Amino acid sequence: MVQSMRKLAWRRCRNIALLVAVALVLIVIDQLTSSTLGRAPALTGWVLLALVVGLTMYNVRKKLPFLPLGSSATWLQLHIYAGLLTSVIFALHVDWRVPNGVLESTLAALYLGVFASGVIGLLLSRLIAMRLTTRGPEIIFERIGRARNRARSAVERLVLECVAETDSTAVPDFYSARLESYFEGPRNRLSHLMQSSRSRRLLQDEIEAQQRFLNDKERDVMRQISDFIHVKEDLDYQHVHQAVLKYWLFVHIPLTYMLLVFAAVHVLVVYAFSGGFR
Amino acid sequence: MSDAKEVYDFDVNEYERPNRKWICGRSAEGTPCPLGPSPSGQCGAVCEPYKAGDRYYCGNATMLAGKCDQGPQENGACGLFPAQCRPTKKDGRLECSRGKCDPGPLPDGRCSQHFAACRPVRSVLAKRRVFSLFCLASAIGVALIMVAGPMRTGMIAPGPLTSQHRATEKGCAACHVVGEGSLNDWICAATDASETGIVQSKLCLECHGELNPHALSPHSTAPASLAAISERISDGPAASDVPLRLAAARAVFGLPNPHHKQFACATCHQEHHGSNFDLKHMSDQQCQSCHIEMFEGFDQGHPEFSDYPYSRRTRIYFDHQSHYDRHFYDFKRTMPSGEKPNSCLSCHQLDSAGENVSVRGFDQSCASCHQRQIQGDLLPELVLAALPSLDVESLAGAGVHIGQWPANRDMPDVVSTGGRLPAVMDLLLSADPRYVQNRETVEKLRLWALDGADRDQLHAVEDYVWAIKELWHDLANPDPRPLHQRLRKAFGPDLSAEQISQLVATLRTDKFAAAARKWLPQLDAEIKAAGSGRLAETNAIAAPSPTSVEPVARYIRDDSNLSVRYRPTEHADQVLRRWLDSSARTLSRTDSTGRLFTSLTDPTTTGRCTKCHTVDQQDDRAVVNWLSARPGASVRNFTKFTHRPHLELLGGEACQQCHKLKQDSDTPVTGYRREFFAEDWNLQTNPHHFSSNFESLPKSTCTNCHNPTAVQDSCLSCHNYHVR
Repeated sequence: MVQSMRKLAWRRCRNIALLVAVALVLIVIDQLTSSTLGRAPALTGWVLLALVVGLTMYNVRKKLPFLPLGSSATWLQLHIYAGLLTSVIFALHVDWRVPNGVLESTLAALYLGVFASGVIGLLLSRLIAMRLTTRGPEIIFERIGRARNRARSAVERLVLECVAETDSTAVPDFYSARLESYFEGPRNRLSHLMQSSRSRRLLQDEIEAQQRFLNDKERDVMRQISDFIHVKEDLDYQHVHQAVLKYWLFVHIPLTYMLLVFAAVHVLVVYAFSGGFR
Repeated sequence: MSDAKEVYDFDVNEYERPNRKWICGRSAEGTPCPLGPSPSGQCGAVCEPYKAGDRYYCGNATMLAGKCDQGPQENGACGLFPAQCRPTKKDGRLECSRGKCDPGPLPDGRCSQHFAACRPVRSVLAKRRVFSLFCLASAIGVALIMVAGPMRTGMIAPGPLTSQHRATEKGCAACHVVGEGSLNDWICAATDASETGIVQSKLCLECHGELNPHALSPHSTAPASLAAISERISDGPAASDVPLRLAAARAVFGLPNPHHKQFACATCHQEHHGSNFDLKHMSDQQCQSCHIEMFEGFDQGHPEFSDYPYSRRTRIYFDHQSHYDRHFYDFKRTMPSGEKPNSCLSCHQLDSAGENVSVRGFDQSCASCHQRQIQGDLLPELVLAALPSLDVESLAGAGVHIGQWPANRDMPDVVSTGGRLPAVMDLLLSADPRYVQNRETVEKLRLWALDGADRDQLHAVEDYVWAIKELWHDLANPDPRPLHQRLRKAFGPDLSAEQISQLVATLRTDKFAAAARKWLPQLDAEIKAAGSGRLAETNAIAAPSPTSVEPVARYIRDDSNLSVRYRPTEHADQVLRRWLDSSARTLSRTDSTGRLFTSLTDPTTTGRCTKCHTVDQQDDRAVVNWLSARPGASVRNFTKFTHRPHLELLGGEACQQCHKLKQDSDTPVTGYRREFFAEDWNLQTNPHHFSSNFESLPKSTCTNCHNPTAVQDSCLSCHNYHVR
């Protein structure tokens, strides 16, 4: 474990150092180009476009797992650090100014959207992965529904047995009124994301409040139902966090495609209006 | 809790297929079909029964865990298809809505066939893909609207123009070749590898016509001139303190600036950065990127000034040293009516822009002391024409026909002893071949004593005289065309028709006509007869009795020496100026025009003008500097200086802090400085061969204030890029 952590720390330091070095080299080249009346924006623009296209290739790489293109982990590392590098090149490209044309502003907003969503995704992947290991079962996203269904079925069986044995409707009534919709799907998403246990405590408080009206058998059933509520809470916790990990890409990837389209228009307009490709 | 514990193994757990396009519609409910949908989104729970022997068997029996009680229909179709029903209540109990399901609904009213067909849904991956494609299509649509829609000009503009350029009415096409082009034109332009940037820059020059023909060359200077400057600089000592950044840029990219190369305007002037953006801003590094000499800053490595700011002699002759050391000393005694200047600004003035200091006019600067020197009869007169004294008797005796001519008598002759006529007359006669062919012969004779002349010489005199008579006839003729033709032949293409007309206007016809009536009364008839080949016999007429000369008249007919003269009466005489300007155009010529210029610029005779108004040689012509230096808006040198803030900041003694008078004096015996007149009063015409009255300005005078810790010291503070 310690060795693994050391390896991770070494890799991170190496990659950050490499990132800083490449950024510095690009800044120097940009400054030298500016100093010689060269077209520094053209240089940084092409580098930026090449990097964005290269970063987009990560998505293509994931669709071609059978090709010997390196491991996905390596691609991810490249994706992260090259993505961070683009922020420096972007700043050089716009000369540290806020673009003010419609096309330029749209392009800049798209880039910033892609970059921000990427950074947020990176942070989420670190944060949520940590959270997922601290609570609930190790379960993949696609099976959470099934597990939730099993819990619901178990609760329903307990309720039916309770009716048969006690001839009392206190537990089924509480189930129908309060728990049936609760077990139908994921609930309290925001609370789970905010790491809040308030919703669960409220439900437990309601169960506690029912205790005085129940006989021993019903109390035992309610205790078991309470255990399944705990399971359901953990499943909801897993579900919402894993959903965030999946759905942040609904922002990152479409914005990337839009960025590429507007970048192509930008290149066309720049070269058409600045007097050609030369 | 243990129920939720997942087991992962290839043959144990169910197959979720999250990377498929379609997933089971019941996944979200936790009851997915183990088989899952087909790649095209068809429910996998719909089996395709197979026939074994004479009956069909369920094709999905494994998936349904053998629970398909219904079994296939007789025609081989799945018995559950269409599977899951919506049980309905009939007579108080739930029944299968399709009426075929033996197990029937569950007690809670749900269909008992859990693995019945569903409506498959897209996987998260597929949803993301659809959403991404939707966004991509939207982006392409918006982009097409941007580049091809009616609002495209506003859409694609990278930002507002500067306030100066915003007023253009042509829109994008005012500055961009493809401004009004189609999308196809844009693509062609964008992929064009030729020098279209230069072509585009010529659109800039349509408005910026103030730039010279070499506008796109470095510094708007002719490549040859720039190469000469570079060669001169490269011969000098190399700078020792080269900035690292520039040295690195030079090492990596080399010199970006071959002299023959042209630069697009956009290389330096970047538009679309807002109305207040400084289009002319350039960093010091950018300025130096093309330069051979590189240095850190104005006070660190910038070359020392060389003769700055005195790059040439003054246009109006003025010796500051002699005036301060001699003339202003004991001024009231030597110049009682003169006005002694109180300060530099008594004779100099700041222009309205506050940039340049020029010399005030003659009336304000010089007149109080020097007006008398160029006024009235003190000025030498310009002889326009004169009749030479001739030995009429000898000519008549030899049978030479010259018609009437005033008899020879003892009177001053304006024609020189060598027989040379006045310069203006000589010029006008130079168009007549009779004069040109015989001039050399006649100038060797003594025209007032021709008794020793041979026959050929006398005939030369005859032609010479008739040329003079014809000229005089033209001078007395109200029709200006003959004189116009004579001047056109004399000057050639150097003068315009308007300039020739101005010269003709200076030759007053009435004066010459009056002279002809008195000195050559038969001139008209003689010229008419000569035109038909009949030369009038020689006939001496009595010399005219001298009449008094009007003291203030500008044109003088002088009977005492048979001349018509012009007398300049005041400063800025336009007649002399026209003749000087015209003859200056032919400085290098040795013919009559050259002789005229020499006579007009002789400071001992008529040419008082050029004692103060210097003459500059420019190629094969000369230019008389009628005015002092007046750098206008059309002139831009490499160096600029704005006097006003310096004068305001430094106060009354500001001028002397920079312009320090030299202590040594090297005035020759003529009293004139050598760069204007040589010892023999020979006119000097090279304005750059000079020695200033003032010490050259050392760079330290400027760097005291202009350094990185005080006032601005950028290149563009003192230098212009575009020069003209």
